[in-house]
Amino acid sequence: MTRDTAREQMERLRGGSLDPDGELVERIRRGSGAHFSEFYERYFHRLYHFAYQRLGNQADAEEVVQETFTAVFRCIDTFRGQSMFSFWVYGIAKNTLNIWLRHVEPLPVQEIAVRTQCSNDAVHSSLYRTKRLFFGAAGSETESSHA
Amino acid sequence: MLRERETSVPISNEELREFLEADELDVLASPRFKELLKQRLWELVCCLYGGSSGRGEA
Repeated sequence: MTRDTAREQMERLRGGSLDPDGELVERIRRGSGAHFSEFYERYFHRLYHFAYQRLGNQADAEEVVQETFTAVFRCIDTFRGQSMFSFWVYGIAKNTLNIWLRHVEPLPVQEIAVRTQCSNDAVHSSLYRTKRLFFGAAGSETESSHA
Repeated sequence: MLRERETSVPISNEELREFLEADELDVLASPRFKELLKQRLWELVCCLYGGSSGRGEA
């Protein structure tokens, strides 16, 4: 099957034309190995790139990719075709990443200092500046309400 | 925004475009991880939907 470029897929989404992945979904539901392979090859790079861009390291990206794929296959029976399949998969990836981020324990300052070869004071200072930037960007939310 | 969707998270056109454009990028994932994950997922699909042959190569 020819792979659509991102531009072509975006046009399909806007135009409401047939989902290029619709047949794949049906065949996977029937347990077709060939279609499973095609789906996996089509989405692996998309999901890995998505996770790596946001997490910045291979181990965490792999974990999120694995959890996303697992969720997709466990839930594929619930996909009703009311959206493009790529949309649906992306939504699962985004949810998975958000849940994963909420459960990650923040690293202690000392460990960050060792890993980055910076002093504890430098790490504290960077974290403080990041926090200021974050709450500045958040607009109406106040720093004190999240302390 | 794009047409009706089944996901509960808000998704912009821009982020979906970025997601799809990964097809055109070199993504440096571990080939070993990719292969191992494929095997595990195929086992899951076989368990859930009754796969037609081994390792997704039917």
